[in-house]
Amino acid sequence: MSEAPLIKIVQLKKYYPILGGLLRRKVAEVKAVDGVTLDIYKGECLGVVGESGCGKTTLGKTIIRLLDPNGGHIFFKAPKDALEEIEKLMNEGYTNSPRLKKLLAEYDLSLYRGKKLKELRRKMQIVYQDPTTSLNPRMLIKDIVGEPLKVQKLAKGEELRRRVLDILQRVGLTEKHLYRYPHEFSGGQRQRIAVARALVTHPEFVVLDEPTSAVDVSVRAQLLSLLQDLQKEFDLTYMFVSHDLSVVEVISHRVAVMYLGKIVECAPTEEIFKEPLHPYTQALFESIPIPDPAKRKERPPLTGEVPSPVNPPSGCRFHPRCKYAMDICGKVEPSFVDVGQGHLVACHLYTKEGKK
Amino acid sequence: MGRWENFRKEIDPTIKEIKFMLYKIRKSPLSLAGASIVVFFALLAIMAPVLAPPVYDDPFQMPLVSYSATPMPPSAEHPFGVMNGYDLYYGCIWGTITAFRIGVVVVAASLVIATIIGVIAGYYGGIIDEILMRFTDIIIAFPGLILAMVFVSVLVPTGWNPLDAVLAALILVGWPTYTRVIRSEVLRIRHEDFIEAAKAVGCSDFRVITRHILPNTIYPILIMASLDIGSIVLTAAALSFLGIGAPPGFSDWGQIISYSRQWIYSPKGIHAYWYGYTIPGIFIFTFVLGWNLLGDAFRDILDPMIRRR
Amino acid sequence: MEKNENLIEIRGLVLRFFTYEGVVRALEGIDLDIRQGETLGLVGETGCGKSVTALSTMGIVLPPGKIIRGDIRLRKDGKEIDILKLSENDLQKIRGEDISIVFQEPRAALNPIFTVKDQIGEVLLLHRRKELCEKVLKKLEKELKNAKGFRKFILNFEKSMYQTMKKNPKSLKLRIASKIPILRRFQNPLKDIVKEEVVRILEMLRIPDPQRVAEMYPHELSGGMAQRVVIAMALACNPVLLIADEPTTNLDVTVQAQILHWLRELKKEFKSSILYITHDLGVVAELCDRVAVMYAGNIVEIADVYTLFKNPLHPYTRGLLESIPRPGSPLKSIPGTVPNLINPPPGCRFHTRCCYAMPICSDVKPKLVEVEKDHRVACHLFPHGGSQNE
Repeated sequence: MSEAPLIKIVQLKKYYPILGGLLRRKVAEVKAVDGVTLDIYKGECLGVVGESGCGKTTLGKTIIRLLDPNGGHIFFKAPKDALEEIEKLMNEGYTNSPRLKKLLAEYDLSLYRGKKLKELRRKMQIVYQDPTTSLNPRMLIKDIVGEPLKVQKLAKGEELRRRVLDILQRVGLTEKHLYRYPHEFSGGQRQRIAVARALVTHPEFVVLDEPTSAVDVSVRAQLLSLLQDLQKEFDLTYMFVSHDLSVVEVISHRVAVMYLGKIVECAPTEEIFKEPLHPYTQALFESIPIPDPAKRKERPPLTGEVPSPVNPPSGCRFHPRCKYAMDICGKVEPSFVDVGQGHLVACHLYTKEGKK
Repeated sequence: MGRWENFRKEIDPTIKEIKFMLYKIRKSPLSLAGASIVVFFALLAIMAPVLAPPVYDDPFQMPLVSYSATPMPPSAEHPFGVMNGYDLYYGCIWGTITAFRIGVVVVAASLVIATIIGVIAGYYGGIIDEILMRFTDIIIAFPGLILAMVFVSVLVPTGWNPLDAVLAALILVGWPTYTRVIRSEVLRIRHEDFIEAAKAVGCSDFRVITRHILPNTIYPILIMASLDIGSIVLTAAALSFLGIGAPPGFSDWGQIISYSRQWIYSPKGIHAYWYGYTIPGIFIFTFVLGWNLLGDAFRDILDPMIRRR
Repeated sequence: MEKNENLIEIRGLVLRFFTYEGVVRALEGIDLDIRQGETLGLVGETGCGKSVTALSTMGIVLPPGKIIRGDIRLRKDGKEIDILKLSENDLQKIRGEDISIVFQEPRAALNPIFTVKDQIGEVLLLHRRKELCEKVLKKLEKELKNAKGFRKFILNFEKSMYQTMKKNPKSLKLRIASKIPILRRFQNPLKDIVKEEVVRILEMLRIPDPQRVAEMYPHELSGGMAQRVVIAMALACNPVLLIADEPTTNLDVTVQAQILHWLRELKKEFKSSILYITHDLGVVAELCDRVAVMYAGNIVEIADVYTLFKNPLHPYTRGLLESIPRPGSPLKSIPGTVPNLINPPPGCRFHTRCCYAMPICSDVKPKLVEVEKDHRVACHLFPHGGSQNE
């Protein structure tokens, strides 16, 4: 792609410490996100798929700085020449140059603090999976949706009311819903309220953390339609985290597959569903139950359990469960290979070392 | 959209909640009994100046109607009798206000202190939590009654009203229990999505605590508090009975009973001067019972309400 | 019993919840058959009443719910048992032994302070105590032959305890002895036998490494393994019906695939029927023999799984199938929302969202009629069964 990505993530790491012992020292770390490099382009919807423990939710929350990263960079709205300059300075080892420091302070979200961080909240938002727990049960809808504007000092009084009503109507609710509590709504409606809250400040980037999982099937499609329409109308960029591949397939432009804290494959949606290259991706796709009894599966595509993220396997993390595993897979971690058409895969079946 | 209409709409959901609470109270006879008792006493307290017009400047001072030390039984003039020269009827009526004052002041103050400490400890965790909780543990070790005696003997000479000294002591030993409860509620709720969502929106810690955490964690301690009002009044009455607490002649139920201390065993028989301890005793008993039932009612109402929805 | 005889027959089940906000008409005349040895899928969305229906077959009606009228019969050993007329005691004998249930969240179903063998053992002790006692007694007899002296004395003591337990598990002697420290040890042979049984069951259910799993605590199990343990608990006493209420919804898709495959394999060996409740049509296609579709407290269509997917008749079923996201085609959804069951729409409850709605639909509730062999629909488009108004 010729233009710079809206968000460029470089080797992002997020670890959770496990405390133990008498003095509660750090005895181990859960490597939830362990070196993720990813580009997200303006106006697209990037689907991130994976199963429990792969770190996709952590990735989303770390990008918008709800969590503090343990390493790596998150470049937001950095122009192409700035990115090139940063890369050059870092490659040449000028880590202490004031120019580099200035560039990083401006574009690297992982360094934002205080006021800059608070302002960032206007531009990056999140919609949670469970609408029952993501809305304060003791707040009226108008306050829930109005809070971002109030806190960010973007509007007050009559103007605030107007904007809240506006966004609520945009998601399909009406004025009489303003003065109600969340428990008076159905799951689908609550999720729309959550979407309204996320969009009321007109952000640029929204992380959608499994927004349709907790919602009924017949309503799911409505919610997805709404999200698509809103994306076009407000020129949003989405990161759509989900374990439901059928939903991701419909709404995403590109898909990234995560396993145990790392991205194993990333490609445009059509590409990846037509021809998944990574063995884990293949197994994942094969596991989806197809609504057609004639197509029942003979055997489960993937056996065994996901290893613990505290002690991930050496080399390629998937190698203990992979049916194509070779010697090199347990020793060397595969780096990304571009197999064409924007299709990246991290697997020794496609790397130079693996093919030997 | 007029401002009045806006206001009506604002309070409409609250009205619905209150209606629901009243419905639940009506359903359970014990809750209804508790609520009625408390309402009855509240009316008594409000109507005190009418039912028993003050005689002195300080309305809480019981009127001295006789210089004889012998108690006088209930009569038309003095419906509850006379004890130590004081009109018991007056004392019991104005004692209602005192009881409310004791219960509400101690409980409210304890709640405020406990909430501040508990929420800060629960929300921030880490070393702040440790320090605050250990401090709380130290306070729990203080024996309440003895502390009350100490406070009275130390503070009264400096000009404090002895009843206020007792209240201060009860507040000091009362707050730790609530702190533990509210801290555990805060811990429970701290990791909920909507708290994180509030932070994602840019809320300051203060706003998260006041707007999000507090409204969702305060209910258990409100229930505990309403149950405690009764027991605080009982404790204060016990202290007054021992002579620590209300100054002489102050309208306080425990104080009145303390006057009957010498008259329980009398040459005329054990029931000769029953009115001295029975009547104020009934007041105390009913008052505490009413609050206990009401506290139970709150627990039944507030718990399923949260669960049901 | 013939393979296709009905195991459970529900007729005209009407269930309502009496809440503060009003009377929720949760089930309005459910007719359902579960056949011997089949896997029946019960599909519907949140609030349609599928869980309530399943719990009612076990006689579990949670307040403020009440069964207004209806009939639920269980056929066991040639006898017909009227579930709704049973006492709580009799129901407890049936639950776990004849009908078992598995819920959505395995960790909520497992007590965190007990090991796997204790939890499955609890079910066994509840329903199979006599047989377990027999096994213990047999073992004791064998040992007695070679025992001498003090050991013999202990064995005889234990033998008498177990003979009492066989006759009267609640006898005073047993209860006292189980509280006294040293005498308490008479329970050990029973614990060993229970563990053996548990391991045998785990093995039979093809759970890997059964010896180790039996000793584990729930928090040591992964989600998929925990659900397998819960299913083992449910199958421990060989029930004739296993009710599974969305058991794989919370699990990863690869784990779900493993468990569905496992259930299919087990089906071949165990003769239990399964009532599989889900909202995922893919799972239904993967596992079930017949499917019943529920909407707002009514069964709207029942058919065998191939027919349902090939020729769905009820507009709701078709809407569900069409709303499954398909790449390349625009997203389709069923307009409107699930109705409030306190004030359900009159007539057919789906008519407010149905694109084929006719005037009669808002007046008369459609009955379930047989349109073709083993395919029933409740829709005015098919009023007499066999004729289609297309």
